Amino acid sequence: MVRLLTEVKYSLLSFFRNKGAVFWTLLFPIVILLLLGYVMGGGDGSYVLYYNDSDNSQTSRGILQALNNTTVIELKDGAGMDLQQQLKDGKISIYLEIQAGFEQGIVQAKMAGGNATAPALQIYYDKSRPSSLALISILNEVINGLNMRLANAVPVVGAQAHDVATQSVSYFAFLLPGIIGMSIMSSAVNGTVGMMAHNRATGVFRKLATTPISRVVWNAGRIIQMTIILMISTAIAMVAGYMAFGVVPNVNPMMVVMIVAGGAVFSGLGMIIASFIKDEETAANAASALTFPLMFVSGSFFPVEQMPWFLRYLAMVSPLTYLNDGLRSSMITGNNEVALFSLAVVGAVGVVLFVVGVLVMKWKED
Amino acid sequence: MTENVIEVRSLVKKYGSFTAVDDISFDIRKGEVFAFLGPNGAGKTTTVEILECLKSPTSGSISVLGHDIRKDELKIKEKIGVMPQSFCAFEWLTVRENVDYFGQMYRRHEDVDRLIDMFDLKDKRNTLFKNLSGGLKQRVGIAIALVNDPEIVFLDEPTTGLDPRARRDVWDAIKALKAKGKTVFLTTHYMDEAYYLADRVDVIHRGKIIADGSPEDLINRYGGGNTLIIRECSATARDRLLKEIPGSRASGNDVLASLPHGNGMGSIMKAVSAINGGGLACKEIYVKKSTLEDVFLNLTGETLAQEAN
Repeated sequence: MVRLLTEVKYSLLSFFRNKGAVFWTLLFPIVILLLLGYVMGGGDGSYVLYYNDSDNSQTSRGILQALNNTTVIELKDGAGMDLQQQLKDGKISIYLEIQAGFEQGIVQAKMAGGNATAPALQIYYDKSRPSSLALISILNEVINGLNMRLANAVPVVGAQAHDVATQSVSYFAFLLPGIIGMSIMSSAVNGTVGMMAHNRATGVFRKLATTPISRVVWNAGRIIQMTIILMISTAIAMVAGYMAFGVVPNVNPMMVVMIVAGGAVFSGLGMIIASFIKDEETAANAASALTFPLMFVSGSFFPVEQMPWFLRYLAMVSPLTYLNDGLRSSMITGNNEVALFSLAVVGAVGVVLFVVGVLVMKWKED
Repeated sequence: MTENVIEVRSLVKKYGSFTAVDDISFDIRKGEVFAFLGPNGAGKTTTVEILECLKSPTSGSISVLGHDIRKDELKIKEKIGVMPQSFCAFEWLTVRENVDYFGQMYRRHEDVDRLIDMFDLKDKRNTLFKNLSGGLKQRVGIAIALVNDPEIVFLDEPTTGLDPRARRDVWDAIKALKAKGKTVFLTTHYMDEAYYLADRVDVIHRGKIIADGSPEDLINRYGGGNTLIIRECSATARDRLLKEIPGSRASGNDVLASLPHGNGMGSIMKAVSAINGGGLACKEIYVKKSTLEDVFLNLTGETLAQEAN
């Protein structure tokens, strides 16, 4: 016990003195969170949407008013501009066209019952620009709301503005646990591999091997050290998420246990990598090569369901997928069933990898 | 008869088809400073790493402090102190923290601050290990090797890569261990180090022990005796001396004569009287003792330094 406490105390001290390691572990997640949050989600909520209202009717003005009310969208009148050319030139990423006769078309469609096709709002966008995708999801949300109201013959103005704003926030809410999961993985794997490979290269391992410390104690030290670092990094990411995007996640025991289990999974994985690849640089490269693809296929940045089928299979065997699901359920949605299932998977994998990590790590040399 | 703290019988260590340690047997007695002397690759480090429980032997029986190395690894580890080859501690911890860390790994450990004082590390106690000079790192290594008050201290090439001053400091630290009555097992490829520090030296070459004894004893037995040197003689003096002194040879303007065991005085007398009587012009005359370097050369036909590089 004294050995374990000493190991944890001094390994944490070493970690926090190494400013480079601290920077990457604690600030990297925040950088990713802010970057992705702003690029994909729009940050402070001002997307610019150009429109061209050729109908200029009560309905079309109502729709524009509704969009304006979402506060996420900053409407700009593009009348007289060649919006199509602007889009082609990459000056704008999306614009909205309301064709002449739009209101009339809607009235006719309503009179004809469900049989006639209602005229559609024309949205032109550049698929390669992520912000256009975010805007489309907002537009869809508004239009859905409008359609409901139109069907019930309720005045159009002011539709669903509040819901739309929530919808745009939900990407950050989705992203935050994903970033935390991703940083648990990358910090634990890279941190463990880095520490073990470095100690082997400098010869500290050889000295340790001549002392009575056991592999179990040493590896348990790794997991406890990692868990403490990850708790701090998670707390910082949550504060950043709140300050930048106003996301307030639930903090509960389930989430804490998820972090511990995730730390065990990825520290264990790090131990195994470092035990098989002896060279410091090669080991670090192997760790990156393994974690980098997992970041993208495990639902950290976007839902697994959006990926092609073969990547979804990969997601099914990635432990990070379950860690992300578990964190999302415990922190955001409060879905306890999903959280418990994910915890069971992550916990079991964590125990297995820790045991394997201890078994494959040898103090003795050949 | 003092008791043996280490007994090695028929130790063999193979790496594939390469035999690093080839059937060696030796004992180490309590309280002595014992040195393995040999060039790099002779099998010194492999042997001590087996004794330190860092490597497993291929065959042979080894007992350390009465414990079988294959069965009682933990008991042995509690009672030995080790400074491995090219020692390194935790870079981001200070000297004091490093000593404390390793102390806590043992059931019984010395007072950290006393140990730091003992090795003159007081000024450096709060310096990060990575910022220490090579000599200081080695001294910290020796201090850490003593942290569990061990019965045997293993020092594997403790001064390799150090400048002469730092070597002296490390030697002083090792002398202090002897004064404390510790048994010390030292490996080195520096003959002066073995000569200065060891009570007993085993010369190891290509995995085999080829000589065993105190440094003086080895020099007497294998050093080829002492050499009389008469420097910077005139041509007449040189020719005259070469004729007078049996077994002498010329080396430039110098005359060299191997002194036969137990009968060196005769040759010296002859040289002195020849110079005196004939009024010969020579600059100086002295006797050079043979060294462990000569011992190694005579035993193997190779020099230590050659193979060390």
